Amino acid sequence: MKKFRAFTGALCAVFVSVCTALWFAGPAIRAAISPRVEIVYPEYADVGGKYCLTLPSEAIIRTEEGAYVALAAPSERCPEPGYDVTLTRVEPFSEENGVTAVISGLSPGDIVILPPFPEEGRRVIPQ
Amino acid sequence: MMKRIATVVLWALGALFVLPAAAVIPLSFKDGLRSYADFFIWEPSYLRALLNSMFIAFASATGSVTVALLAAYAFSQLRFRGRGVLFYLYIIVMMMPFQVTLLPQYIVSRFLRVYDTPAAMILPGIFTPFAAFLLTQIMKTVPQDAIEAARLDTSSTLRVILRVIAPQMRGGIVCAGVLMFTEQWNAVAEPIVLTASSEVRPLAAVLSFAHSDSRYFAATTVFMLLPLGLYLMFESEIMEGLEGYSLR
Repeated sequence: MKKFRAFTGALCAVFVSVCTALWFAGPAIRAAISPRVEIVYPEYADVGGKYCLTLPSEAIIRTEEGAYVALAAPSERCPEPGYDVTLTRVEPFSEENGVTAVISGLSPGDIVILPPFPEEGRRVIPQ
Repeated sequence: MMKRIATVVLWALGALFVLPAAAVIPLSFKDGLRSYADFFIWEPSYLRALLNSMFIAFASATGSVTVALLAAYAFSQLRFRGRGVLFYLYIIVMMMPFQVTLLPQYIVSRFLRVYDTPAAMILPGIFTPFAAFLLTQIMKTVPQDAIEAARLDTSSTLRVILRVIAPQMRGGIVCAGVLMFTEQWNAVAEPIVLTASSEVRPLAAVLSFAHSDSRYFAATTVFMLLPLGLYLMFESEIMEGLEGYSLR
């Protein structure tokens, strides 16, 4: 009985210690294991007489439902500042020389992730 | 034959009670260990809430047992006018639905400027009448001769409580502590009313706003561990305390 009590007591102590340690070490752990992603910023360009935002074509994720881009959006999910992957729908209307022009869904300040794309919701470090 | 049927029925009833809690565990592994990684690393709001729960429940339990032990001494050993009335008031407050005292708690926490801090949840927990009631009932079972003899040895009441009475009702004290810990651990309504920001809320309150995805189930699984561990650790004391309480 005493051994069992000591064992459960030790387990409880380990549990509390691990939780506390993970809380304090959390920012360092997240920084160490978050994937580094390459990013680009959309740029304005004159495409066929239309002034619109353009992106490298590889940044566009094409699916059956439509085209998307993966953005590194500022997140307040963690105590330390960081970026989470969010998918946003875009409407590409022309593609030339590896550059795609989009007419909606993006703003000039958006941080667009280049492949390989991490899954949505993942915390990333833009580089 | 009848014994066997009774055993099967009891096992079935037991399973019925355990099933909802047990069902949470496989659901938490729906996405493998990812939900647990989210809980401990990627979604720190859950981990912070768990640490809040630990702090609030531990502080409340420690405080309430300390206050209750002194109150129990007064109710069971001292003779003073209005003792019975005061004790009945304690019982009445204990019997009241907690919603009755929730708004006054909110007003008092505003008045004391502890609203939206852990103290707003710890202070009402410290003065919970149940612990005082439980310890009073158990303290009445402590032999009077030992207390009288101790009083002859020392003039310090605190020394009598700590050296003579407390060791004899160790089970009851541990039982009251674990019950108070569990009560605060499971509290949902009080933290929601007494706090405004999720940074200070315990996990029970945070979970009440969470979506029921695998992360939620991982959080509920982790949430069960500490009370379960405490129960396993202090099972004999809890039983002893409750038996001592029921003997009165």
